[in-house]
Amino acid sequence: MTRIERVLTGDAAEIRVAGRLDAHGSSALERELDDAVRSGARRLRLLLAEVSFLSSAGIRVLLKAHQAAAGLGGELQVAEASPAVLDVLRLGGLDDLLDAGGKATAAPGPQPFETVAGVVGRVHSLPAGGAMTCRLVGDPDRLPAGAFDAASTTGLPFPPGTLGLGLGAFGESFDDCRDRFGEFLAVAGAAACLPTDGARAPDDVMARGGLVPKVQALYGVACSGPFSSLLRFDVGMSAGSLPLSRLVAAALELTGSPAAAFVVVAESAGLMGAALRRSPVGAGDLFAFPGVRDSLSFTAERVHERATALVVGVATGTEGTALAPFVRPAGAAPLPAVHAHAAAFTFRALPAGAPSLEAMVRGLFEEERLLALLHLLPDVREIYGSGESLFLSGALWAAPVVPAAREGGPK
Amino acid sequence: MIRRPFHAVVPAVSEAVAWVGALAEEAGVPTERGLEVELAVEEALMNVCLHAYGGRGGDASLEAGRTEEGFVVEIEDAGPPFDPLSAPAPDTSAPLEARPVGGLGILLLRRVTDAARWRREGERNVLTLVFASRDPAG
Repeated sequence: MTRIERVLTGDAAEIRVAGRLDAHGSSALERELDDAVRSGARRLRLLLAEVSFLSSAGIRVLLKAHQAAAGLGGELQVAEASPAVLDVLRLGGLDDLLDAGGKATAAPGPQPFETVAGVVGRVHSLPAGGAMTCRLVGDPDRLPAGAFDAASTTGLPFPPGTLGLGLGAFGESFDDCRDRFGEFLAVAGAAACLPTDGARAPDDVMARGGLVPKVQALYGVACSGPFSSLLRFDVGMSAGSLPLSRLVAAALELTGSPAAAFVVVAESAGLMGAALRRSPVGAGDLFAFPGVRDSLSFTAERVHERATALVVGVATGTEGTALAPFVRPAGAAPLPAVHAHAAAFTFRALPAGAPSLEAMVRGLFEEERLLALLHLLPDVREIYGSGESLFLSGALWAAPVVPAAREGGPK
Repeated sequence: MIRRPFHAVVPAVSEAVAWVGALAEEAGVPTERGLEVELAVEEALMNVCLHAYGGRGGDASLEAGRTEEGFVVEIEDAGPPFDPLSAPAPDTSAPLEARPVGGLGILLLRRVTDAARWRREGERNVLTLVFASRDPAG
């Protein structure tokens, strides 16, 4: 019987174990360490004075957790060890995991927390900060009738330093993509599309060498430029989980602009949204009942809880901006209005402090599994509505947006 | 030597290790050395579950007892030919951040056994772990 107790204080977790850390007990410890890291712990202190047996499965768990914490700027230390634990750590050449006492370096004083539109976290101004320029291509109002053609399709490249979302597909031309058009998102040199030709999983492309992801878009928003601010938020300090509309309001407040582009990387507490299941090209009346059931899938309840969500969006807090045709209410209120797509990945912890969006995106696309891609929509039906997408701890990057003139919109 | 079947799935490992631990105690192996026996046996059994049978489970057997060499444990599986002792030892001087997580178990197994031998017998892998008696008298 293995007993595990955990105390979390800020980014430090103290974990006391009693009993055997064999194959069985170690898997319990592995879950505990994983949960601690998910909850934001980066400095893991293990008290193993009452561990009677440490097996190789146990030291693998310790080494893996140390490596995970070190990758996030933290560490794992064994602060107390029984003779059995000491022996095995020494045999395995893992003495360095032992707390040498005084090895801890003085950390710089933590930055104060701020509250931005009700979201509690630490705000970082980004050095390269400026505004993003956004292209608004195509006409979302053509979607219900599926009235798209080659002339209304725009090839959008997404090199690093850009973001975008809309309806599109990877390919060379309209004809090449006509049966596959679906939701897409792009950020930091990576892009994902959800093909509508019956594929179950989204496709993705990362910029590498001279290769830049290119999406044929029926309509969409494509922005380029640096982010101006980063808000590292933690629901441990707010109450419960954060709905998308609060993060959108925070993005607008951070930028002090009527329109903003934003990216969220956060642990999902459940996403709500929809995705096209059939290419809208020539589909006729896409939203007519009952055909709509085949052309669109809605989440009836929150999905992909505990996944890492990568959300890319544009938002506005006022009416009458050029973004208006591309955005819908983020929550029950008409404003802020947003257009946001989310990619759900297997969980990946965010490093402490001000993480690099590029590194995080690369890690997600290269090392995690892309589970789903959807257009985030709140379910605001009274009584039965499941509400908005919800998020736990994460990071929000935002930039003010200067919308360029619409391209290919209604004349 | 006493023999028993072992259904090679991870959840069954702890019980099988405890069985060997109890035999070691009965055979007069000192408690500290007994923990090392359990350490090596657990590693060997996990290897059978994960490598010989790829996590799908399979039939194996376990034999343990005192011999002239000392306390001996023999583990047999019907997986593809695989000598776990041939795995290269991890570099324990590398910084922890760069240390491969695999290979640690075999390193421990080698360090706590006085001899470890692998042989292929027909369609079976046989791994023998020897824990020599360290009786000061003999």
